[in-house]
Amino acid sequence: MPELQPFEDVYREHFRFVWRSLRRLGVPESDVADAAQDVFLVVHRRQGEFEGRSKMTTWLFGICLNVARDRKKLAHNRRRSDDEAPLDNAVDETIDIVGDAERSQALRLLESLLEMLPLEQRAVFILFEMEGLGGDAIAETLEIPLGTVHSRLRLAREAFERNLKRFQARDQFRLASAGGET
Amino acid sequence: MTFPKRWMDDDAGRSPMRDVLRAGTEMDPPEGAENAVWLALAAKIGTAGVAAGVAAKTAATLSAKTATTSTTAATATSVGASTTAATATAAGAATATGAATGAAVGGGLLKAILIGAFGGVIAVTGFSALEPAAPSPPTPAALSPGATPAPTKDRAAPATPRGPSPSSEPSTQPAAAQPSPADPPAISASASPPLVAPSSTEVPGAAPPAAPGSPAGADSAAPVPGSAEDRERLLREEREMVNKARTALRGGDTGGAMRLLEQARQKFPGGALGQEREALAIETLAKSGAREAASTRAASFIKAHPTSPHAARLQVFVLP
Repeated sequence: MPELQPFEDVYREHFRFVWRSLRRLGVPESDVADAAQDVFLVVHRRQGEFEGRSKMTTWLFGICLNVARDRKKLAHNRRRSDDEAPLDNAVDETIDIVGDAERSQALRLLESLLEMLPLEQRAVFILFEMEGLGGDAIAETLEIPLGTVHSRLRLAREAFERNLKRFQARDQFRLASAGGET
Repeated sequence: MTFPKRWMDDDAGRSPMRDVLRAGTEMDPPEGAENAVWLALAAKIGTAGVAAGVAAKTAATLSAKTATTSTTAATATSVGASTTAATATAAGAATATGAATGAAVGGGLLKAILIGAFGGVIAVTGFSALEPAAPSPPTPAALSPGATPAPTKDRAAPATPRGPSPSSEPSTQPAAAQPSPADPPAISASASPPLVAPSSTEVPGAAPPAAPGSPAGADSAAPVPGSAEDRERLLREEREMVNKARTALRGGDTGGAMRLLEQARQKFPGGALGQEREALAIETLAKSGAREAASTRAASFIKAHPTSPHAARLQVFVLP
């Protein structure tokens, strides 16, 4: 049995990966410290179960996905109970308004686009496009068949591209109409 | 099964998707987040010894990192920053970092955390948490160099033009010498985020001869006197106020929210969070029933900032 890597080493080595993954999975900037803590609490508790049967990042990403999913549900329920009807129509309602000032326009756009993908597609998409994983690695990470990886990726890419075009077209339109009116 | 070529690898440069995806690199954790989260973790796991050890390590790495962080200081979101001389003991740094963790965890408010101030000379970030009522009373949270850990009152007067007089309430984080990692009330408060009042204590004489940080972000702050620290402080105060307004709004207190937003507008004309403020104001108006007014303001916002990420959200308030 391989020797267990000290918890702190795991933490130091993978903290950035965990943080990044949580952000890309839609955990807002204001919550990501809490979420990262949750992830590593799970890691600490279940480290014995890991035993190097897969890549560490694979295992970690799975935990990140669960944490992100739970938080989304939580946020969703909270919003529903808040009864904030007007915001239900907003596409990017999870975006942290206060954090916006120091984020670039491109980053906000990226967040909006990712937010429009279902979480399952989103996970495949970020692993492929942003973490640079191959199909097999993604299949292993998410414990889904390769064919599913393929189809989810295709759907995600199509939606991403379509939504980006729509965003851009709308900006164009706004600029044009803003110039045309009084 | 063949997978498509990654957009990120699209070197032909024709992919607009690549440009957007590149922004993903900004999703890396801010400076200091790693240690802050670690300290909070250590507190929960119960390895107090680990926490102390790491805090000392933090102090060491901090001074090494200050040279680079100073340039980001101006644009990064400082939740609370205070400076003290390099002679600050490891214990002092540990306390400050511990408090930082408390604030970060408690308020769920972790943006960029540790702001190094000057290359190798100055660098400890102080936070104090849990100050729900007062606007932003500066409370001492960092140790002054070589001094006793007693809460110091020597705010650099000229450097803190705004903010009420040093309040008389007991300083929330008097920077006790023990490196108690994260204080429990802060953690337990995470369910209903308290408003965080970062403290800032400037130690006169500790300021370096040269200007700390680069002028980055100079265009983003309100009436800015001088240094990067000033700009950070303004941004922080502005953010706090906007934060409070949003909390009020979410709690259904539209009147309170509007009042706070108006205060913020007067106090920080042309502030960096102007768009956020206006977006919130519009939302507040709509929620309080003033749909016509909300519609008018939403329309002019969208017109003025067509590419703003808020524009899409605000569209729903525009009446047909």
